[in-house]
Amino acid sequence: MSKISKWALVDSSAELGADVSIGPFCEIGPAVKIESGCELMNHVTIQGITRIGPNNVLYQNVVIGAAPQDLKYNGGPTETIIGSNNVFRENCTVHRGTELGEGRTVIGNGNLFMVGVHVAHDCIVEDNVLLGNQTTLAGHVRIEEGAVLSALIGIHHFVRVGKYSYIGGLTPVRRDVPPFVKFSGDPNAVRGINEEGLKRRKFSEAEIAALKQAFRRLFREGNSITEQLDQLEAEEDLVEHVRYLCRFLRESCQDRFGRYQEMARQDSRQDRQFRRPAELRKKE
Amino acid sequence: MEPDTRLIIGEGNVFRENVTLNRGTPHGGGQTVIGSNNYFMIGAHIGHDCEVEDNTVISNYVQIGGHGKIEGNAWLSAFTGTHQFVTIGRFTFTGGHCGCVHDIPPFTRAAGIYPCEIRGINTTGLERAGFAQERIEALKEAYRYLYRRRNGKTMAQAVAELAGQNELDENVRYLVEFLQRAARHRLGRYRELSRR
Repeated sequence: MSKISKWALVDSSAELGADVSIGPFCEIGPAVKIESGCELMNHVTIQGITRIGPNNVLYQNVVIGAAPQDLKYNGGPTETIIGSNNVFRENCTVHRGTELGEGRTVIGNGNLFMVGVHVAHDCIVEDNVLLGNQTTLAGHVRIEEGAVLSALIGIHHFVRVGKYSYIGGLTPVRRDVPPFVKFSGDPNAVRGINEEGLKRRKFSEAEIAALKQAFRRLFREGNSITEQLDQLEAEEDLVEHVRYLCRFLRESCQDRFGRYQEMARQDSRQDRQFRRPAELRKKE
Repeated sequence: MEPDTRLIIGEGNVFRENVTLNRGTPHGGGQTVIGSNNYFMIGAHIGHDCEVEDNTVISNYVQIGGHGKIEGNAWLSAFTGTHQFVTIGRFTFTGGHCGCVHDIPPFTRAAGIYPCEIRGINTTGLERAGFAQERIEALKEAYRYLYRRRNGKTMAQAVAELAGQNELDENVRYLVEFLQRAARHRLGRYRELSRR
């Protein structure tokens, strides 16, 4: 049985599944679909073309599907798609995609977004990710599965955070974070293999040992990382995780700022001219 | 009784989710003033008695301390924090997590966690705003002269020399005057001189 507060504003075109609970002062827009078992506490706002999968919990003041904070956005019909079993704590914000990006922001399953986390336009957050308080993703960021981000982290646009990595608090992340590592500091640095995190995720001792050995060879030995990658990749019996780490690093090294996804950016220099945001342009 | 202080906001601003603006204080001039066409992203905070000019972009969780001033077209990246009384110059860009403890000169790029450093001229921002190439070059040359000088001169001497030149580019003149103003305060925060 759905439980919808008499003080909530739910548009008649919104689609709500079974057992959806909506608290007072929530506002649900017309193109929103919320699947069964979701719990919305008070003051939650859901706008735009947004699909929220089953069993998500949204705390107070969460805003999902609002217009992107991108001066290039033109007010087009872009989407926000959220999977199942995610928790969004107070003040979290998720913005929809932009026309020049993927056109949609995608969040997977089983993620925890702590207080004030911001997921910007065209981001992709995979599964079982943890984002600490006030951590802010810029546009087009991709967080791979199982990554753990501490509090107050700012992530530059187009950055890719590798799976099962850990990022320390207050880090301004400017480049791709390789998978399975600990990453922190300004200037950014890879600090070692995220051993504790991998143990918690039930990685075997042998896998962790192989990753640690690969880390030493890549980051602590030799003249350059590309040279070390050449040597390591030439070996035939590499553990699957090490091969993934090598491929990830190889891709990141291709971009001059170490942000592989930025190589595929679709906007031109002309698009990036300074202009007023879409909300104001449409009033002119 | 509530004190008679104000918050004045111009036209065409966008305030995203959870932005907070404080009104002025009686001892600080009594008003916070926001100009026009500014974009305040999520969670930004503008402290009491601040002055924000026009066309600025203030990103997520930027915290502006009391009595601060953001000049026109400045672009502050996420988590930038400014000390109280700090002025951010026009067309300045600050990087993420930038801790601004003194005035940040106009047309420059500041980065680094705390305290931040001036890293160069904000070329990309100036190009996007339609500055002519030779005007940008003039600023870059002035930057090199001021910040990359290695002929035994102090910053103050370099600024004074540049200020003494005739036929200085208008923007360079503004940059030099800004630095002279900032230098009048012991900690490089010009607006703190008017502290009551």
